[in-house]
Amino acid sequence: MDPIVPKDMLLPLPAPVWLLVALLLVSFAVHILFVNLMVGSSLLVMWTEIKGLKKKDWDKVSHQIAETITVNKSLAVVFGVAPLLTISVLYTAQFYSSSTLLGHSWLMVIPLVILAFLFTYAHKYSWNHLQHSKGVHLTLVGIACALFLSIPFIFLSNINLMLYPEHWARVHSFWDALWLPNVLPRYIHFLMAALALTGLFFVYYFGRKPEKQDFGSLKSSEVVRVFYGVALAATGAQILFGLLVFFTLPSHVISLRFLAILCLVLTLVPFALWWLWREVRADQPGARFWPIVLLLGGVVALMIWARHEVRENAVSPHRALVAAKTSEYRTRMTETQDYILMPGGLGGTPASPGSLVFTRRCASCHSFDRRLVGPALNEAIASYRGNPQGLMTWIVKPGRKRPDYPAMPAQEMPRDELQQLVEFVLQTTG
Amino acid sequence: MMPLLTLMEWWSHRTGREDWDRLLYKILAVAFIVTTSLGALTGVGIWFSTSVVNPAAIGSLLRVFYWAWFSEWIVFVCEVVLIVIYFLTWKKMTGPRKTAHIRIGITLSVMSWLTMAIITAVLGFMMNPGAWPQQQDLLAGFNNPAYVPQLLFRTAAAMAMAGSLALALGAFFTSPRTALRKESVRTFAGWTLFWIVPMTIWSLVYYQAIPAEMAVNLPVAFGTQAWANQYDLLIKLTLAVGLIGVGLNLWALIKPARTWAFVWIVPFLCICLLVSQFERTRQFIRKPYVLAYYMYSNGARVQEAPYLAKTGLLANSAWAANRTITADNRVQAGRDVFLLACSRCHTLNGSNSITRNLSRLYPGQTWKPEAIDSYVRSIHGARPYMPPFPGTAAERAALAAYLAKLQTTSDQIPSNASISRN
Repeated sequence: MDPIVPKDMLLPLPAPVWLLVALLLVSFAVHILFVNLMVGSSLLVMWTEIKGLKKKDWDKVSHQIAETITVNKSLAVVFGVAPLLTISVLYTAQFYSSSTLLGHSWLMVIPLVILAFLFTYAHKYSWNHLQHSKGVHLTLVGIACALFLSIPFIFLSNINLMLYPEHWARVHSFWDALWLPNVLPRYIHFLMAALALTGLFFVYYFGRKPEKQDFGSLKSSEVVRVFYGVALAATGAQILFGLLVFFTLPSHVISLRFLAILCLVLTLVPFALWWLWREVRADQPGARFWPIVLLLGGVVALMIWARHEVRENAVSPHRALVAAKTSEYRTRMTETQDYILMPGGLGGTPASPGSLVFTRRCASCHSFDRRLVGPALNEAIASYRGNPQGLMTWIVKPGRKRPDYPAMPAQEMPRDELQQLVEFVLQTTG
Repeated sequence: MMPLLTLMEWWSHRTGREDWDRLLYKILAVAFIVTTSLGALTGVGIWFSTSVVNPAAIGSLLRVFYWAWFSEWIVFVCEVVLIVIYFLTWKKMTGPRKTAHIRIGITLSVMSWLTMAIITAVLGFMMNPGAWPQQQDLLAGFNNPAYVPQLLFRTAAAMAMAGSLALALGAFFTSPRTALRKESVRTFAGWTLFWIVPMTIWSLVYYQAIPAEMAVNLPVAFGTQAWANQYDLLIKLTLAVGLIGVGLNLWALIKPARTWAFVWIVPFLCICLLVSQFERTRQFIRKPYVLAYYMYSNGARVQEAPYLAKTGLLANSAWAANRTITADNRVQAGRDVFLLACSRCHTLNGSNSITRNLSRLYPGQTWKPEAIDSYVRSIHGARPYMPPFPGTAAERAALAAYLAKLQTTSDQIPSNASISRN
């Protein structure tokens, strides 16, 4: 199907494209880092709190996780603004089209995130009060998790839909956009990344000062090993889900460079998996932490680059169409600048100044011979013949004579215009 | 809020008042949760809603003000990081480290003000772009005539609002008839009164900076169409609300202990009412433009109006279902014209409903397409806040046919109607 080709804004980009692309990729990396931590920790806080029902010490771990979420979620939001602005500028035609196609669903992100945050705060600050009503307390975090799990669907539908203008004509709602191929695989891919990253984050967090951590009989090295396990399982699963994303991509977005990046990623990941596995089995885990972070950090950077490749491959033909259409429109628009916006356009006999004022100010509501909004003037003005002053007074500050008509609004205009107008009206009805 | 809290923190530290310190922490806790959930999200929410409601306007603004918003974002990040630190370390940084904590508060206050200083430039620009249409660069847009008065007005208003909120919260968090209640009521009321003076002065200066052709809109901007003829009454009501607020604050100064706690929430409600009335008026007054002198509120640029009037809205829209008008599709094409030309501001039956407006124009009559057509033709003359109809005569007639039909049939507009604009 032919893509829909809208026009771009008629103003130049505020910066060179390379700079905007760099800002987009860097700011998005920071944003998604905190989003991952926010979503991943919400899931892990629930998991560890449930673990804590059987083994009390995990509840303490869970409480510490809860302390971090509210900070990470604040950063996730603020760091989201820059990529949002930059993508709006760089991909205006595509991103605004897909956002508006989603309509209300896209706007729902805001109230849903506010709700998720309020439940997260409620969960964090009620930890001690609800110590003996764990059911209620777990419900709070359950609702927060459910919200955090649904919001990415909206983001992914939009960010996926903007890539495929050929589908726009048949997408009428969020659901249509959600069922396009690739959205669900990307969703799982995102969740696994969130868990892997959060696992690593808590390896760091609980491994920092082992002597200061106090989880009763639970040793901090054991906690660290569990989070290494989370990271290992999630990273391993990524190979599978990554391939699923790859095979649901439409063929026209796959380029050689994209394949090369993916191959590089696939050679790096096994090293990370091997080190993670060694850490899970180690008595004193932690020695390989920074190499793992460095390696997986590299993988994340490559994946962000690959993601950009896909977007560029998908969008560039459409971008060229948009640019051509916009420039043609601009040319034709400038050519028409001298066309005058007036009833009838150019030509005809020159109108009297009074009749111009009439057209501009009165013709919307008054005709001479029939009722429009206000009464027909031939009849209504009869009483003003020979009394231009009276008519002027009425126009400037009208009263209300006819109960079955709407009240006339007061008309403010310069004195000379008013005189020309009244002269014209009285002449015409006279 | 932050300057007030930091100032009081400094004062209570200097005088060794720990009860004050605890009270300030509670007030900050409320401010913290509200700003980091509702505040941060509604701020970001603007980007979502504007992109759906009027993509052409926000897309253009973004091209002009990208770097302003980008630097505002950097300040905003610092602000959020600082408020998190300021709140979470309040109880940890005590004793000798209190001075450092107060410094965090000062930096946070400066950052909050900077955010406002940048965003006010954009707001001022939307009403009066100054030299921007000729120069088309960021600096020209930034330095618009309404900027300085609006910024000073907003600074004072924010301070007064913070004082009123602190008055209400302070009363809520203290026990009646204690010395602390008395002091907090008196202090916060005094602070509010102090700022109300510059707030009033700068609002008058700001009023002078409104372009004359937009000041014509004031009666409708202030009170909506239904109340436009009672402009004087509304002004008096607004003044009364302001006087109630000032009066209560004065009373708080003289008799801080003689009342129930909930009375002290009234000044805050008064100032909220005044500020939201101000924002409403500011939003409306720039009509018929959404970006003054550059783009009409329906998304058509001023410079493209002649071209659209000649070649038509439908033919130039990538999204319209009907590109040409025939005898068979007139009403359907009219609906497309409605989506393109009217739906940014008017709904069918909801807020600013087009059917209600039509019933008001033609009470007790059949809506005649010809009458509507001639009304729309010079609508911008009859109603100075309306933009000129941005299409051809045939499109106007189709629109009129569609609108006339709405008297007897009902219809629904999809939430993604703004898509059709470009």
